[in-house]
Amino acid sequence: MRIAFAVVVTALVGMGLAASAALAQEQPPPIPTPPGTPNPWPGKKFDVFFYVETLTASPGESIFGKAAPQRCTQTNFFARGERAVWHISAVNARKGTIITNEDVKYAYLKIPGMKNIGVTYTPHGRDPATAPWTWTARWDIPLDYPLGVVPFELVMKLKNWPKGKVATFKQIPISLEQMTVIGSR
Amino acid sequence: MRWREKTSRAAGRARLSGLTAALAGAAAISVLVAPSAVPATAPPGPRAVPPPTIEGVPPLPGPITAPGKPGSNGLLLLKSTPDTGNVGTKFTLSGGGLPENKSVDIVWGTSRGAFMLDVQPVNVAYEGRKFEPISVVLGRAKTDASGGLSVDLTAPEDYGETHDLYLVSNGVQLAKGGFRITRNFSVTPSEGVLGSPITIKVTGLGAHPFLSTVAIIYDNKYSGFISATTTRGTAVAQVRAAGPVGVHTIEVAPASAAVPYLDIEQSAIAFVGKHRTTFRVTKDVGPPRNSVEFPANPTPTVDSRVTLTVGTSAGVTARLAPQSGPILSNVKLSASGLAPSAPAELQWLTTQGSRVNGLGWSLDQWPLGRAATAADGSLSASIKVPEDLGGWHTVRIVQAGQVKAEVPYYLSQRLAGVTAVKVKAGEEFTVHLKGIGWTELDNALAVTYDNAYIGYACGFYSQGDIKMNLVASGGPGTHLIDLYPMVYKSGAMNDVWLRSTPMLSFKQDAPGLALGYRIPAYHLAIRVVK
Repeated sequence: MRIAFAVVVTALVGMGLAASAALAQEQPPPIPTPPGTPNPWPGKKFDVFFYVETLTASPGESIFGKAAPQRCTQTNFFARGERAVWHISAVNARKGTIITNEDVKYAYLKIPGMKNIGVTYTPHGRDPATAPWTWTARWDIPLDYPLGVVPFELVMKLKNWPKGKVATFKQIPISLEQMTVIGSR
Repeated sequence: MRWREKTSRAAGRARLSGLTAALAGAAAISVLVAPSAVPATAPPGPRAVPPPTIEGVPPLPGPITAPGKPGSNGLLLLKSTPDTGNVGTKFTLSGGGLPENKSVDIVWGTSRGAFMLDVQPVNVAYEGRKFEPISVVLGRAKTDASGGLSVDLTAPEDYGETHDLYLVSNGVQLAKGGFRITRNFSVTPSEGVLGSPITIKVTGLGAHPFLSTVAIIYDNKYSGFISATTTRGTAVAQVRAAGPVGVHTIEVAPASAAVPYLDIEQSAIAFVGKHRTTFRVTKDVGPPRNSVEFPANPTPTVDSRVTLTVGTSAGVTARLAPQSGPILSNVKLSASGLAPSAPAELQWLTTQGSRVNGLGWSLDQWPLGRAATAADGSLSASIKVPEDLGGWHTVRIVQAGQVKAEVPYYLSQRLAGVTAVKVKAGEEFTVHLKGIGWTELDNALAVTYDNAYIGYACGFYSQGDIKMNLVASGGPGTHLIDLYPMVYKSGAMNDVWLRSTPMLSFKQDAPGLALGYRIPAYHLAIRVVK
């Protein structure tokens, strides 16, 4: 879930280093990229690209009164009674545009044993004018929820899509990288 | 490092051993590995070596199965009561709303642990550990007529922390639950004379680098680490009761990096906890006898061996008996299928060099002597194992310049002696060992003094010989020196374990066991006098 973020950070750092190097000395002309396949990692084509991260909430937010020791921190481990928060970015891969609430008919999370949890497009911060907007969901984990992996599924339907067509996201089944409920911290 | 095999060698380095050639006919003594089964070259690159079968190590909790896929209607939830406990905890798995009268598999999510090794002609490189997620069938059950399920289960002897539980029918996951195996510690006995063994058993070590390892702290001294990489979360280790007479504190501390993590209460994995107890040394009855403690002797799971280069020609068989032993052992070599009534050269393949002087090391061949085959192409000879590095070597049979057979031989370590055993504090004493190897698994031993880790000694550059000069310290009485197997991680950092520290659970969980390496611990003692 954090791969996309890491790629962005790495790219930014790389751009910064490149700029510094350019100031320090004149660079030789770049070696042209050899011709290759346009898409070196061909895969399925999707209509929507999702970036999904899970984070801890702030103290007092969970209805069960429990909170992780650090707020608003990326993690895939949540103790029973804590609130899990999703931050999701969605991109219309066909148009190359950010998907906002204007584009979406509905979006929700499916969590085993729970009612579907609505996913809303909200500002992350006190001032909506300056705060970054993100798709968000929250789940207060029941005190008796089973321990272990939570195989949640994100479902999103765009307004102009035909009946039955939705975009979905599931976690990559990598051990210890999936959302996991633990008894306590 | 140089991988070039030397084809000639200085005469001054020749180690001609006693050789007796005789006509074939002597009964071949069985060996563990048939040479014909050994591949000519080791497969390149690091790989997870399958753990060997070792008595006392728990098996998989059930047959491996596919984890199943979620059904189109999503997953129901299962309740485990209790849902947390030690290995052996009885719990009930229950749920409702399931299909009526349906037979289901209870699928338990777990892992398969292995060491990552790269077996090369001149080295075994340690590349870390691998925990592969797998699913096993823990049991089978049938839902009742109303779609309910209640089944009594026992937490298996398995890796610690959370395990997913799924009800699976025809490959479809119907419901999901979970159970957490917690760590459990035992330290026995609680008292004994100085030098007596203290056994530490841990169950529920996790299948993840940061959940998998603990360390022993003895009177605030680091003694070594305990792991259960290939032993399904259960580890058994021993340290010896170090003096002086009186009560001593033992702590089994979390140790992801193989050294103790001292503020686990503030860690993101504080839930792993730690264990503290005491041991009372009742009496100092003098230094216990020196002893060498070998690990289990399982059948290796990997045929690849260092120094094997060419393999054995078609139609030729060759055997050594015994297949392992210390330096200067007499070994019987028998072969068949060779060119009849012809001379044969016998060679010993080894390595020479160093990791630290920049020149590297390479394969070397030492002459073991000459023999002659019988009219039927058989050969029987006696060879003497050179005074050399320990570990796997190859005995070669060469005829007319062509390698006809290569047979692996394991040169085992041995204690040459300790001098002096009665010393004053500040005086020097020497620990002398033979047959130390050169790979990252057996080139060195980690050393403790009264259960305090003090460093390691290596025998590679000295061709298997360790003479370790130590200084006696502490008050009058018995003092313990223990040497343990360790991992010398050369360039491989694909692991959080720090290098060169004592592997206290070496008897069952050591990377070399799958390759046939049997690296012992040495339990030595001196007496400090006024």
